[in-house]
Amino acid sequence: MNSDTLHYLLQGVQNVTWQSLSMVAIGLLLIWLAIVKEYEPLLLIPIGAGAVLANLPLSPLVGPGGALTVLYEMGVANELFPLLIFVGIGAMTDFGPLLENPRMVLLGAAGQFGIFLTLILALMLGFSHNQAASIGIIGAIDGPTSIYVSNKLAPELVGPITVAAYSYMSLVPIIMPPIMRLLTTPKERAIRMPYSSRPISRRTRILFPIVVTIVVGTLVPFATPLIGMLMLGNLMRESKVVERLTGAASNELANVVTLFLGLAIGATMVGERFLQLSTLFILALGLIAFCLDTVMGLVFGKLLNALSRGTFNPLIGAAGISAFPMAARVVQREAQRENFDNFILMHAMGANAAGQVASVVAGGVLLALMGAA
Amino acid sequence: MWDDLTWGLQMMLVGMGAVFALLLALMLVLMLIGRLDRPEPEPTPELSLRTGPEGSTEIVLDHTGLDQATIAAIAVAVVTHAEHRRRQAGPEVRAHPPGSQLFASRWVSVGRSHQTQPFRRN
Repeated sequence: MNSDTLHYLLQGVQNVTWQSLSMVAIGLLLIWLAIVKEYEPLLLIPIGAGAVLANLPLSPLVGPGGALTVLYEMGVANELFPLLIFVGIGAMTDFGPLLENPRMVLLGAAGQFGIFLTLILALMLGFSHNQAASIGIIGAIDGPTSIYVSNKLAPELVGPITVAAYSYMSLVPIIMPPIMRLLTTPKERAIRMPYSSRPISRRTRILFPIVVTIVVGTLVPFATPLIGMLMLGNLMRESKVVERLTGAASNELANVVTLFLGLAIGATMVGERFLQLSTLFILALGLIAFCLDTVMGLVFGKLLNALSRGTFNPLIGAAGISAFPMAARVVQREAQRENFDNFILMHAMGANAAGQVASVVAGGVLLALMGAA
Repeated sequence: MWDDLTWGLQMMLVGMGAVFALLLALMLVLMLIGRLDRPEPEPTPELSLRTGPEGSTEIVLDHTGLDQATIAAIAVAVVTHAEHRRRQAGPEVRAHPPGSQLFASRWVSVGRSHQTQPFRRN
C-alpha cells in the first residue's frame, strides 16, 4: 500500500465541492417536497434523485457512457421523451367538455399571454432571444411543451426550466386563488352558469383528434410533433378499439418515460452549471409567468362577462391556462367557496382542455417565430 | 435594451395574434363538426288537445293514446303498490326501512355501552 492507494480510496471525499453539496441538498429538497408535501411526486422524485446521483463526487452516472447521460441522449436531447409523454396525456384526456362548447378554445388562447410577457421580462434581465423564449415557455404551464421548446432553443437551460415548470404546476392550488380573489368580486365569483350536457357522438370524438392534427399541423408545422402525439393518444382513447394500447400509453408508457425523463432532467442539474444567478432569475420568471397567465385569463374572463351581460363567471378564464385538470378544480373550489351550490366545473374543464391544446399551439408558434427547426 | 423591448413586443403581438387566429380557426372547425354531426334527437311525445265527452278540453299523449287521468291513475297505482310491498317487507313500527341495517346500530351501541363501563369492575 502506498500513498496512491489512499488517494484512490479517498478520491470521492477529496472531490466534494460546495456546488455538489448544494445540489445534493437541492435534490433532497425536491424529494422532500414530493414525499412530504406531495408536490408532483411523479416528477420531483426522479428529478431529485437524478440531481443527487449526478452531483455525488465523480459520479460515473453522468460521465461519458454513464447511465444518466445515455438516458439524456436517447430521450431528451432528441425530444423523444416529451413526445412519448404526450401520447400518454392524450390517452388520459377527455376533450368532451371542450367539444360540448368549442367557444372555450378562446379562453385557452388567453391563458398563453404569460409566455410572451415573461419573454419580454427575460429580455430585460439580459437573457438572449432564444433563452428568453425558452424561459417564456414556462408560461405554457405544460411540462413536456416546456422541455420540448427549451431543448430546441436553449438546451443549457432545460434543467432549471423543467424544475420551475413542474414545481409551479404543483403549486397551482396555492398560486392561483389569491390572484382570483384579487381580480374578481364575490358577486362575479358567485355567478352561476347553467350547464346542459350536449351529447357528443362517437364520430365527433374520433374526428376531433384527426381534424386538430391536420389543422394545427398544416398551419403551424412546428407544433406537429407535439399536437400529433397528443392527438394520437386521444384518437386511441376515443376509437375504443385499441384498449390495450390506450392502457399501455396512459399507464406503462407514461410511467416509464416519466421516470426516465425525470432522471435525465435531474442529471442536467450539475452544480457548476446550475448554481448561477440565471437559475434564480428563471425560477422567479417562471413564477411570474404563472401569475401573468392567470391574470390574463381572468381579464379575458371579465371581458366575456361584460360581453355576456354578466352571465359568464370570469373565474373560468383562469382555467384557460394548461395545468390540466388542476386549474379547473381550483376554479370550481373558488366558485364553491363563494356559493356552495355553484357548479362550474364542467365549464372550467372545457377551458382547461382548451388550454392544453393552446399551450401546444403556442409552443409551436414560438418555435416558428424563433425559426427553430 | 430598446431593441430587445421592441423585438419582444413584436413577438407578443405576432405570437398572440397567431395563437388567437389559429384557435379561432379551430373553434370554427369544431363548431362546424358539431353542427354537421349532431346526434338525432330522441322523439318526444307530441301533445294534442281533444274535446272530452262533456265539452271539456284534455291533453292527449298521441304515441300512447293515454289521457292525463289514466296516467295519474297509473302513477297512483305504482306508488301504492310500492308502499304495499314495503309494508310487506317490514312492519310500520320500524324506524328505518328494512335492509338499511340502521336499526342494528342501536343494539350495537346499547351492547357497547353495556360492555364498556369503566366505573364497574368485573
